[in-house]
Amino acid sequence: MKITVKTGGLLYEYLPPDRTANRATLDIAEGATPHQVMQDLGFPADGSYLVIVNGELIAPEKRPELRLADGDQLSINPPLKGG
Amino acid sequence: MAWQKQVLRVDLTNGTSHKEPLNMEWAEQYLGERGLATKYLWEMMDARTDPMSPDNVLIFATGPLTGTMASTSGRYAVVTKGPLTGAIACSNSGGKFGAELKYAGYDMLILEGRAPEPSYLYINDDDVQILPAGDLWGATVWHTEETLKKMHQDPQIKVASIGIAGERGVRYACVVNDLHRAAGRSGVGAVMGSKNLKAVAARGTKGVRVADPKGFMQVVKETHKLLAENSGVREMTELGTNAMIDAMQDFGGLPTRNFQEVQFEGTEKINPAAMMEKRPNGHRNLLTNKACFGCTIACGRIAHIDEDHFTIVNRKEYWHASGGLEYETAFAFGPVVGVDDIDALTFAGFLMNEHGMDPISFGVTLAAAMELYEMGVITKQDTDGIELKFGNPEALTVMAEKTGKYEGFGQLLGLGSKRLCEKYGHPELFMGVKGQEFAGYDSRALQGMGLGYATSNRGACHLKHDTFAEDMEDQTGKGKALPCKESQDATAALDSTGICLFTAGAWGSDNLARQVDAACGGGWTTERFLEMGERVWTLERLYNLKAGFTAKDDNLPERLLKTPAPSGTAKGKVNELDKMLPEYYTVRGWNQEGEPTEQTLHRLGL
Ligand code: SF4
Repeated sequence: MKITVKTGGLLYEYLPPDRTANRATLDIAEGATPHQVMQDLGFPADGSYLVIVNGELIAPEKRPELRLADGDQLSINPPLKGG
Repeated sequence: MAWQKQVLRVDLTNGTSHKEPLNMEWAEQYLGERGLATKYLWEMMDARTDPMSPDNVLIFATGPLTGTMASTSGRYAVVTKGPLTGAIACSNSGGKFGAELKYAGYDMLILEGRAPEPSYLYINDDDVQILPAGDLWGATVWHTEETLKKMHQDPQIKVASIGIAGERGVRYACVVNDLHRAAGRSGVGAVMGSKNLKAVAARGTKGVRVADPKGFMQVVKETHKLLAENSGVREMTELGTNAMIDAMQDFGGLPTRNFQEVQFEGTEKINPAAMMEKRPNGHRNLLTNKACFGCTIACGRIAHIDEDHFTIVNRKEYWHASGGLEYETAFAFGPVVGVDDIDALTFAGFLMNEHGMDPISFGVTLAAAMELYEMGVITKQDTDGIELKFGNPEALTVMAEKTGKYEGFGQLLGLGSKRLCEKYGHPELFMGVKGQEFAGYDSRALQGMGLGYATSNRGACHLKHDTFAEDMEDQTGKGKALPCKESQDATAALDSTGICLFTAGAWGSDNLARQVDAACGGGWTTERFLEMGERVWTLERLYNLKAGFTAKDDNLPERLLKTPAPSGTAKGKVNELDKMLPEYYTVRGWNQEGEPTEQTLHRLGL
């Protein structure tokens, strides 16, 4: 199944080479979780991220549980900070 | 010792100045910069004083690490009673001015009274002169800096000055140094203007000595490495603070059209990618990045505007590079006023630096005026014929210039959002706390931010606490009080060192304490450092209580407390301040009236 991934900051560096700017379409296994997708893309496991699926905030403990569905939009941003 | 152990005190009324020893007993308790200046302010003036009267005291304060080889060590703070809020004001700036003031031999510059005529202060090491400002009164910040360097035939002079906005009492006028670095918030520039002081021009050649040079060198080496290896720091270097705008948009915490909405459809036209994009005509907004004194992060952006853009097409004086968009300027000239024209935003930023105004307060005030205009409360007759609708880039840039020059409707915008909304009978449209406008974070999505805004001693501010980690994980009021309190104390400690807040993610309080310890002669454990921060925070609170503020002022506008977020991850949520605030007072050791208990005061030696 296919999902779209959008990244913030410099995290586009983890997207596959066929990305368009900070977006990519990924072919993922049925029932994969945000945690698995991020692991497969090589996001450092000890990093802190802001993860949103279809506009809904996914807390860290939910990331290994939530089953993604075809057409989902996964947004991965670096942690929020002041500026 | 990293302190110069000397204060320069200037009596503007009588035209005299003298040097006095730094009160080292206070320095041991309040360290420097924000903390020590707060202690001096507390001891020197009655908190009930009118901020624009000659009795207000204006302090420029460096920290013990200012001017040392520690990274980002160019910081200084301007501390006074703020005319926007009536509360204590503490605005902090980078650039090179702070280190220069310290190299001239002073930890602090204390300005009292009011000069009988427009003046500027010239400091060249021990040589201190109060000189007539002459034609500089009425000039821009940029012209003032250039002229002073020429007049004194020294390009190495560092200048902190005000524009017409500060001279004329725009409530959020700032002090700008090194052309585009500013002690930006709460109207410290208006206080300088009320003292008839146009500028401080400083030249110093004395350097700074640290207590343990070898130990300091070692810890500086280690802390430089921590910055170099931190991914958040790398992002700040490559993209600037505006990197945050995409995340805030996804999150639904990006205040839009005076906080009526929380997401902005034009974000991708003003984000870092848009700044870097090469246009068909070859123009690219962003030119390079820039660092303040001694900084190894270099988050500053240097940008230029397309010469064909309507804002500058016939104005060659703006065909040059200057400070570019950062997150807060992108927010204040973008989403909150509904504008997505990146050149217009960049021009508004130039105007803020040129005329000396706080972009956040200006943008949020303009947003309130736009809402009043769309409601029909004000019309083109009030706005000098300008269509003051959300999204109109001309309204943004024309009003930025009018406010900077104190002309027409700009004079009313110069009151700040609270006074403007009250004047037109709609106080509920003011988006801020204690008279100061919010920064670019909506506290329906970021609950802890709401608590930080409500309790910030200088009025709404995003830079005095850090609950981002908690806000990202849970969008209720639960568990926010303690991290809010602890980060407020840690930030107050950091702000008292002479170091930039943007090191916080990589360093934490322990690495700051280690640098202070080596520079200041030992005894600065992390515990003592953090307790110092709590003491500073509490003293600021005591100042505000004396100035007349009460727990009622620790509040948020109804819009954030009663109108649910219309979209984003916090859709349907309001801020839960009523749940957080009682818990916050408890963890602070304050009573439910928001007053520190005797026990707390005793514990902190207050
Ligand atoms: S991080 Fe940015 S604001 Fe802080 S000192 Fe460096 S350049 Fe200046």
